[in-house]
Amino acid sequence: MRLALAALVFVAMLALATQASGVVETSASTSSFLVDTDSDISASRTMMESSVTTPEMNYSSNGQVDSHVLQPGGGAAIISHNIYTTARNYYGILGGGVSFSSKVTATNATSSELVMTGRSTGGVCYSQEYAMAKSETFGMGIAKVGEGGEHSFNLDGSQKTVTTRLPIPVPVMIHTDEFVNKELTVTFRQRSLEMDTPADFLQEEVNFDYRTYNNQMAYYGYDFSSFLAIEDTSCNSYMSFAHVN
Amino acid sequence: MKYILIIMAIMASSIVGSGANVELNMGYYNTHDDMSMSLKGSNLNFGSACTLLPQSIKYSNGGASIQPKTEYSYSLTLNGDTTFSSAQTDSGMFAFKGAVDVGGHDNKNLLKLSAKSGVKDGSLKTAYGNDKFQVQEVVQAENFVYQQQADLGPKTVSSTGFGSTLTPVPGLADNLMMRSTGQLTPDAETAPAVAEGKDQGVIYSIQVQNPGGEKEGHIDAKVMGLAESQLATYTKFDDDKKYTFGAKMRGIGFAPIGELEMAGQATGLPLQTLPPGDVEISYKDPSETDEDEENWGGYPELVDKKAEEFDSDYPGKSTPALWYYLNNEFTIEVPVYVYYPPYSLLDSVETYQLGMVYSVRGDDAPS
Repeated sequence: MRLALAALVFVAMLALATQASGVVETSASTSSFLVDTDSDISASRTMMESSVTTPEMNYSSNGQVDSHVLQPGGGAAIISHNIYTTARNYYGILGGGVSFSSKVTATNATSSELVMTGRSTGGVCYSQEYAMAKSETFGMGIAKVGEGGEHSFNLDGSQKTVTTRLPIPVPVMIHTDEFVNKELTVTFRQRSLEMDTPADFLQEEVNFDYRTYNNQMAYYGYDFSSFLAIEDTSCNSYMSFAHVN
Repeated sequence: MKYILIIMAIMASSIVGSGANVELNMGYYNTHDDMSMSLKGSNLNFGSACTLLPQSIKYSNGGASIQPKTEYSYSLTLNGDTTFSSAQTDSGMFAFKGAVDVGGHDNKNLLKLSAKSGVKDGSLKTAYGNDKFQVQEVVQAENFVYQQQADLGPKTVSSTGFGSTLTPVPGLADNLMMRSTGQLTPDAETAPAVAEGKDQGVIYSIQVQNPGGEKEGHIDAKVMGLAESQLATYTKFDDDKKYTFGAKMRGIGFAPIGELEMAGQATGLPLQTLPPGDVEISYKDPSETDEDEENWGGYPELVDKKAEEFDSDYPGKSTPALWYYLNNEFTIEVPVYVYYPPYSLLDSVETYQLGMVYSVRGDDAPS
């Protein structure tokens, strides 16, 4: 008897969970890849805006990655960027975020700079009617290259939205707070590296991302690695950092 | 009948110095080799033994601290090659042993020294090396313990060190456990998962010199806060020229971890610093929507505007701006359940891991 009751309670909980399983997930990404064989300066800027609007939420993010290296006298450089945004209402949790990555490889470099900036805004909608949902993504890339050398510059983008239909409408409980209708701006600004002697080889990679929860910062973190070589001396440095609210 | 003349001297010595400075010098030689030992220090004991033969010298010694506040400076020399170690601490320990084994039937030529030192909640200064490579380390520990060991020969140096915080940060384990179980509201009675306590951590610096190669380098590291931290250090010198040295820290603690940084430099390289950059976070009312952005068909104009901004920031030749626009529209048949559970009320936590390793191949070092 107890076993049957427990089973019944379990089934009831399962049904409740199913009712609450409103799932909308959307993601978009933009990647750029620059190869510059001979230049005094190599720079690349990649940006993306993406938004999703559904009956229960709207979420928009934009991101920009900006990096450049100076190579007086000329040098080769490879700069790759990626921006990845997500937004979802998953089991009633409105979340989203932006991930950035940048990898710079250069020869004869005297300085390098990197800035990553993301903005996110999330809000709650509510409609008992059939509703049109929409997701949009805009991506752009542009690069600065040498006058004489050869170069290649590519841009790729993608967008994906997954919705899960619910069997019946359920009551909506909205807990609003001061952050709900705010725009969150997050910037990672790498300290610029300045060198009197050009580096024979420089490689810097940064992966930075943040996540929001009910439009409030839930997490941010980064992985950084650097390899720098001048003549017979080299330095490897790295750092991983995560902040969880 | 052959007569073999054996002249042998066996010598042993020991000292115990407590509360007073002691100084001891020894030298042994035969027709082939000569060696010497020098020791200064306080609050230590020391013992040595030597077997001296016309064709060989076999010597060994060792010493150790006997009080938390102690210091020593020791060197061992064989035929002009010197190895040395020293330590000074107000709350720690040290131990060292040296050995010489030279001459004999198999023509040995051994000079080695190994030194250990450690500190617990205090300061420690150590130095060790040989004629070609010298290392200095300084440690300031706050509720932190650090221990290192160095092994030295006339042409080699290697050392490793490891340290960690002595006691857990109150409430941190509960905080992490509650996060792992999804309980985001602290229970004051059973789980004081809030930040409290005293900052703890370590301030560490290592400096290396390669006098022959006229090169030097250093790493300074610091972590101090309500964090549980670990520190690992490493040096290796071999092949007469090549060397590497590095330091690594990792840990977890309540945010913000007050001080977390590492800086390093080596001859010929610019200063390297960690963290590598700053994270800025701000909230504001949503921006007024740009008409161009509202009208998605206006993106060509936006692209032109952004391209002009880029050209203004970076003069020179640009690639054409590449762009795309994707639009996806669909219907959702029923409203979904929207529930905003309370936001996490737990104190924020931070995890970190950082390190630096310098390597010198020695291409330019004079032979």
